[in-house]
Amino acid sequence: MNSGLHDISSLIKNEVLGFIASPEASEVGRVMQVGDGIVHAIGLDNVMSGELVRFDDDVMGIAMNLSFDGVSIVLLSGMKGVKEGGLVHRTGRIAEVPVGDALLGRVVNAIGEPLDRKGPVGTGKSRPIERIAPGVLARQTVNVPLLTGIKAIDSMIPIGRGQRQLIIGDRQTGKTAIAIDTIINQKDKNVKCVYVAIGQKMSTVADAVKTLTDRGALGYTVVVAASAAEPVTMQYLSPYSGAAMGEEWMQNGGDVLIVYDDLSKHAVAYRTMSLLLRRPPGREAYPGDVFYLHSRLLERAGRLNAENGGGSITALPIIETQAGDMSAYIPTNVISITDGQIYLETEAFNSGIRPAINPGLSVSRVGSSAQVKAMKKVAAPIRMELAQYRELASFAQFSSDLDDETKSRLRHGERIVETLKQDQFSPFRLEDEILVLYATVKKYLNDVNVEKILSFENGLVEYFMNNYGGLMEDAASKGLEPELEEKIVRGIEQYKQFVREENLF
Amino acid sequence: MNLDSFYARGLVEYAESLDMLPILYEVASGILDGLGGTERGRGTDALIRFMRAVPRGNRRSVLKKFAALTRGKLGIIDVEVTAPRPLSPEQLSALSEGIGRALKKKPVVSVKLDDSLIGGIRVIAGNRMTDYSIRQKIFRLKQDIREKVVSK
Repeated sequence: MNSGLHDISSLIKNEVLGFIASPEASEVGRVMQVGDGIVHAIGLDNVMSGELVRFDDDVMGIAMNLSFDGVSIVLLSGMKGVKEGGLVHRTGRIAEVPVGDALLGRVVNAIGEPLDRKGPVGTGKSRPIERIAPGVLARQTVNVPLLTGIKAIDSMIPIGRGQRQLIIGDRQTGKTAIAIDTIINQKDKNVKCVYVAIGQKMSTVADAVKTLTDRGALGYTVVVAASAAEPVTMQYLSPYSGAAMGEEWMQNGGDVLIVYDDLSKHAVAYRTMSLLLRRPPGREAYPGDVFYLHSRLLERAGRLNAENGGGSITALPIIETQAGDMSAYIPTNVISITDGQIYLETEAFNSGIRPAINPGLSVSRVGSSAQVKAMKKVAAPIRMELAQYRELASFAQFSSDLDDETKSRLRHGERIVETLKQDQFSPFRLEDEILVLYATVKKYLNDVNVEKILSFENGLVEYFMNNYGGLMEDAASKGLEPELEEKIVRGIEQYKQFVREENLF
Repeated sequence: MNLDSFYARGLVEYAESLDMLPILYEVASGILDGLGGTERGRGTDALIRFMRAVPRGNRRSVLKKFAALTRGKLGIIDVEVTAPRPLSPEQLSALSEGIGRALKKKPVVSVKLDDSLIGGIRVIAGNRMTDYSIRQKIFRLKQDIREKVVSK
C-alpha cells in the first residue's frame, strides 16, 4: 500500500474510532409542491432569505421567497429525491464556495464543485457567495493599468486595475476572444483570473479551457462554468461565486481579473427563476430588481486602498446585443453600471477589422488615469484621427478627384486602422505597442503599403529588440523624454532604410 | 399571503372574539377528518356563518389553514415519530409524555415506519426535528470523513 492510501485509511480509522454520535437537531419544513426546479415548503418559520436548505438525498436548495404561507426554494440540482410531503431541513448558513490558491488551474461549477476530474478542490477555506461590496472609505481611485495586450484597447480604451469595463456586441463579433486574450496577457503580471461561463454550451467552455491551457494561462486562472444544461439557479449563482473567489485574493492584496461571459444569459436565467417564483414581471418580463442583480455584482469589483491591502478586482462583463441594439433593457442597465464599454461591430468584423472595435461608441471613463505616460502621449491623437478618417472615407467613396491633403489624411487613416488590427492570441507587450503606435501616429508608416503594415510592424519590433534593447522599456517606464524619442525616431528610420535596402516590403 | 390565509386568520380572530376558539377548532377538525361537524350547535352555527363569506372552492383549504393556526394557539403540537420497527404502547406513551413535558405542549403523536433508519428513532415536533437514527449517524460520519480527506 503506498503512503497516500495508508494515510487515508488511517485517517478514516481514527475518524470512526473518535466519532461521537450525538443526535442531530434541526428545523424542518414540509414540501408542499415541487415543479420546474422550484419547491414550495411550509414550516420553515425562521429560515433566512438566501439560506441553504437540504432535502432528503442531499439535494440542496436556496430559500428565495419568504411569505406567511411558506417558503419558495430554488433547487441547486435536479429534483430527484424531492417529493411532496418530504422534509426540508434548515442549515443555518448561506451558500458558500471554496476559495484560495488551490482553485487555480481548476474548472468548477457555481458552488465550487470540480468539473475537471482533477479530484476534490481542497482549499480548506470558503466564502459566502453573496457579499456587500466594499464601501467608499475602503477604496481608492483606479490608477494602475491592466494591460490587455490588444493595441486598440490599451491605446484608445485603456483599462485600469479595479475598473468595470463592459464588452458589448452582437454574436460572433469577438467578445470572448478579447476577454480570453486579456487573460492570456496577464501571464507573469501577478494577476489572478476568474473566467465565469454563464449559460454557454459545454463545448464552448471546453474550447476556452483548452485555449487557456495551451497558452499557459490556466495556471493562474479558475474557470467557473454553469452551462446551458445546468439549472437556472446555478447560472444565476455562478457570477457571484466567481466574485467570491476573486474577493479572497483581493482581500489579501492581490490583483484579480474576472470575466463574466455573459451577463445577458445571466439576466435571462434570473428572469426564468423569477417567473417560476411568481415574482411580478416588468419590462421585457424581467423582474423589477434586474438592475440590482448586476449592480450589486459589479460593485464588488474595485481597487482597495493601502490600509485594506491595496488589492483589486477588475471586471470584464460581456453583454450580447441583438442586431446591434444597445438601447435594449439589459445592455443599457449594464452600460450605466460599468466604467466604460468596448463596443464591437459585426460590419467591422466582417470587413476584416479584428478586433472589431468601434472607437466612436467605445469609451473608458477611468482608464486613462491608469495609462502610462508614454502610451497616453502616443495614443492621444488616434481617436480623433480615426474619426476624421471615417468621415472623410465615407465622402471620398463618392468622389474620384481628391486634393492632396485629403489623400494624405486617408492614407494615414488607413494605416492607423491597419495598425490596430491584431490576430487572436497574440498579445503585444506594452513597449511594443508604444513603438508601433508611435511609428504609425508620427506617419512613419505612410509610405508602407497597407497590406504590408502588419509584417512591417513585426519586423520593426524585432529590429528594436535586437538593436535597441532596453530603449522601449525605458520609454514605457519614464515617458517619451526628448532624448529617448530621438533614439526611437533614429531606430525607425534605420529600420526603414534596412527594409528599403533589403527590398523586404 | 394568499386569499385562503387571509380568511384563515380572519376566522381565528372571529373565533377569538366569540371566545370559541377551541370549539371551532374541534368542529373544523371534525369536518376535515370527515368525522362530523354537521351536528348543530353554537360552534357549528358560528363556523357556518363565517364560511358563507368564503368562496365555496376555498373552504376546505381555509379550514386546514385555520386548524394549523389554531393548533399553535391552543398549545397542541403534531409529533411525527419515525422508527424502523413498530413501537410498543408503553414506549409510545413514555415518548408522548416526555415530549409533552419537554415542550410544555399537548403532543398529538403519529408513528411512521421506515426501515431505512436502521435503528433509533426520528422525532419531528412541529418544525423541530431531532434525529437519533443510525442512518443519520452514518451520514454524519461519512460527511466528517469526506471533509477530512478533501482538506488533506
